[in-house]
Amino acid sequence: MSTTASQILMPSAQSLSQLSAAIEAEEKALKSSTDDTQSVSHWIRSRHHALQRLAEQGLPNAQRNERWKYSPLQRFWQPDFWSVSPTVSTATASTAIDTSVDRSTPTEAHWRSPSDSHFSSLEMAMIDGQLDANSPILQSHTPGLDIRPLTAITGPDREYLLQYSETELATLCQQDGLCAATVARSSVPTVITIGADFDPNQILHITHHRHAQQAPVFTLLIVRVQSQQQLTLVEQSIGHTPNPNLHVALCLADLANGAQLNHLRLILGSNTTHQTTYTRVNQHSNSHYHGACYSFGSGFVRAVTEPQLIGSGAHAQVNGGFMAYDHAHHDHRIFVDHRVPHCTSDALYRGIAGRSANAVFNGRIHIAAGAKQSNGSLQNRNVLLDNSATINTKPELEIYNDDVKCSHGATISQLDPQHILYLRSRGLSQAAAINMLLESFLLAPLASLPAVFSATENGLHHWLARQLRHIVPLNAEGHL
Amino acid sequence: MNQPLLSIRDLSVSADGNTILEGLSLDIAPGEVHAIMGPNGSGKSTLSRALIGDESYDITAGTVRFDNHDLLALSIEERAQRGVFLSFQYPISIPGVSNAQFLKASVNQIREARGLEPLDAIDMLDQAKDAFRRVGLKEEFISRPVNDGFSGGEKKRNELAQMLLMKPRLVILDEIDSGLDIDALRIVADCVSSLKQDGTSFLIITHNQRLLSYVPPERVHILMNGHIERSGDAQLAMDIEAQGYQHPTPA
Repeated sequence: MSTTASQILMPSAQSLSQLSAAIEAEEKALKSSTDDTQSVSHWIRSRHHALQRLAEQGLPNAQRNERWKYSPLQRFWQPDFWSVSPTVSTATASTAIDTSVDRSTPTEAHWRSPSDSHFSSLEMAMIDGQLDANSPILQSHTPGLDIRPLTAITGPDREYLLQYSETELATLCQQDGLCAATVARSSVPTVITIGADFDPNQILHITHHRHAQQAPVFTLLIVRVQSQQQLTLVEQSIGHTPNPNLHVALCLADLANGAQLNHLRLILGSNTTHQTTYTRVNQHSNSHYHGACYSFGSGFVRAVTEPQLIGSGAHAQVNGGFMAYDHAHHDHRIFVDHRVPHCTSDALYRGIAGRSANAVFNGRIHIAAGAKQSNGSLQNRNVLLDNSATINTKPELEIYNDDVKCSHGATISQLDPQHILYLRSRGLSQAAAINMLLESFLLAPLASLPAVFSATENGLHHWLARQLRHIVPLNAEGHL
Repeated sequence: MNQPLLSIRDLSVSADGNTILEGLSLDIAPGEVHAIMGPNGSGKSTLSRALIGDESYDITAGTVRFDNHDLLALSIEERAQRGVFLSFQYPISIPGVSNAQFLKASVNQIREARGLEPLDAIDMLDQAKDAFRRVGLKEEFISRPVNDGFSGGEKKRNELAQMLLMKPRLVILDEIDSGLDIDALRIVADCVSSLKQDGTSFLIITHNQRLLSYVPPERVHILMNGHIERSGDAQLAMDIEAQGYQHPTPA
């Protein structure tokens, strides 16, 4: 029996009923394990609100929703999308989730931890959307770092975080049905707080492991960087199942005054990996967000990054790129919202598509009416490797203020044969020459990011370049 | 003449259906410096491109043997690995690819093809520093993107630095002297002299005699109408300088 579009996009009454029952069961379990019923109530309200939004709007419809125009959800539809799998509440960080992970044999074996660089790495694992209590980072105390479920939050930020998470999740659910499905289906969000005494030379490396055989995996992460603190966060995903698997990862980041977040997200698509990520960043005064979001490979990838510049002097650098091949569908979207005066943003995105891949870039800078003296720039450059691939790119400016500087642009081209000839005339094979050109093109946006990303021998740039060398599947003639 | 390193016989080359070289023959022995002069459009650069294997040129007739192997049967990179090096007339910029990254990959690829151990990053950097110093480029050029933002003279010096690092057996200098000042010409001469002592052969394409006064050639060839019309010793270049290509100087 074939599945119709309406069955895909709208949950059935039975599915909604099952979800509602699951939420009530989680509320009961959470309240029986903690005295902090207020935080549980906040979270449960978020889930109920998400469920309500889901019932009203369903999943995004590509025909009616511009933001999903090129990425119909049928591409990664799984028959059991609406089925509710039992969830385990992470009432405390010490709750055991799954101890059977074999980290030595990840499916995407080429992805390795950046800990082999000179930056010290703090390792943390999320397994099927839930914090792995066996994560190395949880086994010892790291000054300035706090990781715990939202329902176990303590300290002076508690009230703020509860209110912040509920408000932001509601906003996301309002604007996107897949976010609503994510919140309705997620376990309690994991909250990472960076406070005083945190050593900014450490990299927090989060690996999202997926073991679920078929059911989609939903991850909810909240990152709070306190005033004047700095965090470098690397997120990557590893699948451990040969079955098609959808992973939706939602990350809320809140940067207090003067805080800085360096955020590298690596997405490796494959025929069994369909990934959607949302990163929504609240930026208070003089905070800096330096993001680099890269996706590689086949399968379905959708990555959304949304810095909200809500404090004067905030700066968002939103960089990234994609390399899509083998009928892949990669959809990168950035939305920079200048809400207050004197904020700056810059976005540099590079894309490569070949072998029947389909790629989308949509970037938008929004300048609110009161956001005087905003400065925003958005540039997207792409390379098509052959005639079978497609790239749709749309940079947009939406400006409601005269006193701003804004620019945007996009190009789509091919590799320059003279560049390849030059490199080959110096002894490099065609494959090596093309690889070098693609690598340099794709990773160029890293150069405008802080030193931790830059082209030092042991930096993340170097690490990322090495992954790329393993991943780009060029044939002997040097073609994808 | 010793067994030639490069032996071209009756070479014909076309591009976009137009015949540019027709029946060109030339022999260069190891350690010899040959100069090719000729009017604009006579096919000097076409010869250089054909020798490195540029696939936009069609070899329609003839043979080219390099070190007694069929050069035309080799790919572009195989020719480079065996020691054919072209200093381009207009070296292109490759934004994003650093000289350091490019040189390390290239030199080690050539070393591997010659059965040598690859250089590690430190040795490579030491050699690159030495080569850049010899051609008069500051060390900072090693980390800059290939030729990106370089002046014309800096690009030519970068080509010379690559030549020193890749240790070729046959070097084709395609108008290396255009855009170079007198000091840079002396650097070219020093580099050529140094490699020549190690047995490297040179084919210098030039329009004027000034470079040849610094790098005395064993033979000078005049390329006209798609083939070598005249050959002679260094005096021929001076005659051409004084009288032009149309003067009927006997070969």
